[in-house]
Parts: sequence; structure tokens; C-alpha cells
Amino acid sequence: MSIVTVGDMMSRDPVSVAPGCALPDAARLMNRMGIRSLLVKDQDTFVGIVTGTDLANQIIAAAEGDSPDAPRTVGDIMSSPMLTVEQGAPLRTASEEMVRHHVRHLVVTLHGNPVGIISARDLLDPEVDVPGAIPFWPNHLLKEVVAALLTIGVMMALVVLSPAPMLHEADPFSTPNHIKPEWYFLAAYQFLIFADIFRPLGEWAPKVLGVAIMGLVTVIMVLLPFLDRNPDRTPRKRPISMLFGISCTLAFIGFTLWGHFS
Amino acid sequence: MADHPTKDSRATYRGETAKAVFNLLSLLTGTVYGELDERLDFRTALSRALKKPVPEHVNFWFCFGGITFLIFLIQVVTGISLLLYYRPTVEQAFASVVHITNTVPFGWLVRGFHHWGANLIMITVMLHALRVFFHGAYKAPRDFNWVVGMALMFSLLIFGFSGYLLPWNELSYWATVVGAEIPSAVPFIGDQIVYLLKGGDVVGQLALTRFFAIHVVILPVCAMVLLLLHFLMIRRLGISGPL
Repeated sequence: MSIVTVGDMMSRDPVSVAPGCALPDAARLMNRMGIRSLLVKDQDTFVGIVTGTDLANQIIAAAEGDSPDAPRTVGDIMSSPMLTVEQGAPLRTASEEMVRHHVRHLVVTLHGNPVGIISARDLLDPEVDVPGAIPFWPNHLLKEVVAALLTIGVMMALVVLSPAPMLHEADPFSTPNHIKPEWYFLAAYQFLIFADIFRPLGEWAPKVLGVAIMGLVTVIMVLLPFLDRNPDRTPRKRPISMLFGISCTLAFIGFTLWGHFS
Repeated sequence: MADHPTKDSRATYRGETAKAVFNLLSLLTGTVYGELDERLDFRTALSRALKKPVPEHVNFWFCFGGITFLIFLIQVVTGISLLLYYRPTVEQAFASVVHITNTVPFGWLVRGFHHWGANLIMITVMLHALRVFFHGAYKAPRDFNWVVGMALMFSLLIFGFSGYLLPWNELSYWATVVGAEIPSAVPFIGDQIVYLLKGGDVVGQLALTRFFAIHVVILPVCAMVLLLLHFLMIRRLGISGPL
């Protein structure tokens, strides 16, 4: 399975200018090259980035107040240090960085050296054939429609083959023999029965401890992202949360089946 | 590239077809909508959204959230339809459900869909949660969306519990009598919660009225706010990357 990387979508060979470059020259260069960002290179080191937005802001600033020390060169208005993303990083990383820093251009680096620029437009461009990706319309939407029709088909089959049950009217004066909750509450119900093993601790224990344990598991589930600070997403590299998740799932299935057959 | 001429031409053809369909739709809707679009410019936004590429790692495990939402919509439509005939009183609730099932045209179908939808949505929402868990997609920056998702799952459970009483049959009645006692184990305020829920010491008309209010007004409003938050955050943060 191929992952789309920043390197796949970036513009190679970034155009750079010296910090002393005058602003109109920088703007002309951008127009001629059809780009909206320039790297700023002092001698042999990249020191910053200047974008179309920076130039526009400069025009506004110049119009509002004509101070004698108004910026005249790229070096005066550039963003420095540059925000970078590694060439081999997933494309997602670039968009997440852009969203986080509210910028539209990132410098792409290979082992720390700038090799390209990725702009927000590179992420949007529908004409670029992202390897492995499919367009939402119509390819992905077709799959969604198939899934939706299958769901409705399954529901229709169930409704026709096994109609909603029609039982007797409720009678508060006669208790039926086997009352069980709906299946999705069976695990909790059976666990409360199972909690009877705490009875030796006292008359109060089964109910209070049963509800307390379920409450604790619920709180852990809800706050999971804040308790599990391990940044790794691969299942193999997060054994503790996997153990918790798998045991919860198995316990749910186990108690549901136990409740069903007891 | 020269090795795969057929793949390339197919991709071009696909793009052309999509463009043609899109242009046709624009033409059809534009006749009515053109004037509005000049002011609102939805067309550009729509075409951008439609062309957005879907990453390769998005496989069928990713569809359970969408299916859950589809079933939620089915529950809204069938639920409102049932509301046209259902009567939430101790004397008439059961009779009205019998009437819906046996007399109202397609009543059996609407009730059947609502019944099975309630069961299937629990399965699909659990599969959705398990997918998010095993992919580690709940981690930052999507951590708050996991919490919203959990709130949605609990609202579904309360939907199920409150809706179960409404037909007022023997099973739903006694399951509620037993189930409504569970909150009494909550320290200090347990008995008060039970009393608030039932509106008295027994499951009677007040309990039915309250469960009805929870099921058809309070929860739907809460769920829609939560769904809106859930979707806005997905839209903002995108689908989690491949493992």
C-alpha cells in the first residue's frame, strides 16, 4: 500500500532570492514563475520564506502609514525561521502543519536541506493524480451508495423475515418469568449479577462495586485519548491500550453471551 | 508511464465523465440556482469538495460511521412517522402500537424499520468505535472528537432504553422496572435520579411521559448537536492517516 508523501506533491527546485532583493522585483519574479512563495537565501544558507501574503500585507502597511523606515527589501518582511516538513512525511502531515500554524506554504526538506515547497494548493489540486487515492466524486461516492443500499437491503430483509415482536400488554400485577434487557444492555446486566461474588464483603458490596467497576471502565473509555499518551498508532506498538481494548471487547461479548444463555 | 497507457487513458476518461456529469448538473440546477450562485458561490465550494481525493487506505472499515449516520436518519424519519399515530398514555400506548402494526398502511414496515434500526445502529456504532480504537485514530488532534463520539454512543444507549418502554408491553414494562433501579447504586444522589426518571415510586403514566419526552425531544436535540460537532471536527481534521 503506497502512502502519498509530501515529496510526491511538492514543487521541486524552489526559487530563492537574496535578502536584499527589492519588493517589486520579488513580486515580478513570483508572477513570471507563476508561484506565490520565494525562499530567501543569504550566501549559502536559507534564512526565510516570503509569500504573496507577506507582499500584500506590506502594501496595506505602506498605504496606512508612510514611515521613512518602511521595509524595502525581502529581508525586512520574510518569515524566519521557515516552517519545514520532511520530504518522506505523509501528505497529511503537511496539511496538519499548515492548519496548525495558519500558513499556506511549507518548505520541504531532505535531511534538513530545502529541496522544495509545498503549498496549500498542491494539497487541493484535483488534477494531480495522487497515487492510490480515488476522487470522492464519483468513485468514492459510488462505494458509499453501495454500502447504503446494502444496509437498507439488510434492514428490509430483517423487517420482512423477522417482524418487530408483538407481545402482551404490560400488566403491573403479573411479573413474567424471564425478564432480560435488550441485548446491548445484557453485558451490563449479567455483570451486575456476576458482581454477587463481592457479597462476602457486605450486603452493600455487590451492587455498589458492580456499578463502580462499570463506571470506572466507562470513564477510562471516555477519557482514553487523555490517558493513553503514547503517540504511536500502530497496534503492535501500544500493548497496554490494546490489552485494555481487547479485554473490554471480549468481556462485553462474553457477558452478553452468558446473559443470553443463562 | 509509457508502460501503462490503458491505465492513463482510463483515468482521463473517468475525469471526463465526472466533468460531463458535473456540468450537466450545473446546467440543470443553474437555471434556477444561477442567480443565487452569483451571490453565494456554492458551486465552486461544491466542485472543490467533490474533487477531493480519498486516500487509498480508506477501506470498508471506514464506512461504519457513515452507516451509523444513515441508520440514525432512518430512525428520525421512521420515528417521526410513528409519532403520527402513537399515543403516549398508559391506557392507549399498547393499543396504538397494535393499530400502527395491523391497520395503518405500511405501519408494520415503518415500525419494523424503527425496531431493526435500533438494534443495527448499536452494532454499527460499536464497529465504528472499534475501528477508531484499533487504528489509534482517537489520539490527538482527534482526542476531543473521541469524547464527542462516546457521548453519542451513550445517547444511543439512552435512546434504546427510553424507546423500549414506549410500546408498553409486558417485556418493555418489566425491563424498565428493573433497569430504572440501576442508577440507585450511584452514591448520595442515586435514589433521587431514580425518582426523577420514573416521576414517582412506580413505573406509571409519569414515567411513560418522561421516557417519551426523553426519546422524541430531549435526546434528538442533544444527538443532533453532538453529531454537528462530530462532523465539523472530522471536516476540520480530515480522515486519520494510514497506519
